[in-house]
Amino acid sequence: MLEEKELIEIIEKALELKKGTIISGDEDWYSLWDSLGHLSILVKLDQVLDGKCSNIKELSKATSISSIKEVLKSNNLFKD
Amino acid sequence: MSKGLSIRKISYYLPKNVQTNDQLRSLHPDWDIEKVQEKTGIFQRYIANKDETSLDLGFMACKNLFKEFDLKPQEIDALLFISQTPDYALPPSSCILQEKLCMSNDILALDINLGCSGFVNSLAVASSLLQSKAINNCLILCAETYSKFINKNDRTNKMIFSDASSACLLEKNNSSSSIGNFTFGCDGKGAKELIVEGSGARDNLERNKQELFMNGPAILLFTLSQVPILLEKTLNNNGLNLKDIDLFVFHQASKLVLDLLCEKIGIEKHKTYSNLDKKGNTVSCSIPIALKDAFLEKKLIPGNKVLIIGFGVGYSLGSTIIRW
Repeated sequence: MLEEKELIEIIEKALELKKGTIISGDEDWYSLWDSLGHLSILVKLDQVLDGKCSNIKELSKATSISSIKEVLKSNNLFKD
Repeated sequence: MSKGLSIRKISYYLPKNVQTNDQLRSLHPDWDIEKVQEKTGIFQRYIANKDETSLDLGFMACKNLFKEFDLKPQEIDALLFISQTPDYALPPSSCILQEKLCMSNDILALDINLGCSGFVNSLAVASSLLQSKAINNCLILCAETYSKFINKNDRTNKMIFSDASSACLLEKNNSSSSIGNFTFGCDGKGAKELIVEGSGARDNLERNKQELFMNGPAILLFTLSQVPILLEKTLNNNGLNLKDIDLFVFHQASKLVLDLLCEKIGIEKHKTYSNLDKKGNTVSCSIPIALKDAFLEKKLIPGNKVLIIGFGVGYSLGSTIIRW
């Protein structure tokens, strides 16, 4: 199960951002990324969560950190 | 398994107009071409002229096939035309091509509206017709001009899709070639994730709506979740294991997708074939073109077991194993 810190690190890696660019707790600060960035986030999440993400269709519509957290939480893959 | 069936006779045709990533960089200096190129693996694509349709491209692929293999159009028993960009809603392009190619009046001519799974699923139809002895051969003609539906500022689709056509003859012969058992998949819930709205009666043929829309993240999730399952079913249906396959030819979606599928399924890179760099994603033509290129490059030799799998618009999937 992912925690806040890990999720943010995954997103930073996927978007090729420097560590610490995304401020924890300010989930919608980085709410916009392009479709390529979205694909990269899904790929990294799927790899880290052993392929469980590819079965969660709602992730294709999750375009902010907070919405990704919500979707993962409802699938028991994230804890606050 | 259908023994004595072969698809070794394949030719293709690509439009003369080549669009390179350098050209796109000049047209769109604000696009991060390098980044997209790294993910897609595509360096150039082919674009049909304004007055060039999938029917025209298909016609040229047939001409190439007849010339390359010294075939006569009158020898063809059936013509399946696979395209999502036909000249007209009616009549069928296959009927127009029958006349243009001077084929016999006794042939079966069918249009099939499918995208990236179109070649494999049409091969299943053609194989069944041959097995039923209704026909002795079938010309499977794929032709696509997605470029006509792509907005000039659509960074994603413009960099992926390429226009092309392929002509493949399925025939009975005395070789050791065979076509294996097929597996299929369909999930219409994904119909709106890859769509050209306004292109049919539902939207009253609204011209200003006729643009290709692709929900990349949704298509990626569908592919990663369904393709490995279908591939395993195909192996089971044919009594084979992953290690028995000499070459995997996936629909040439993008480098990102192919790399992820290999990683997820556990396929060694050297056992796959890709020509994305020079050909782009040619939709239904991508598998027959890849088979031909792999054969020309001697990466596919007679006797090899090759697993082909098409997936995409619909959502629709199809797979089988060919003994080349």
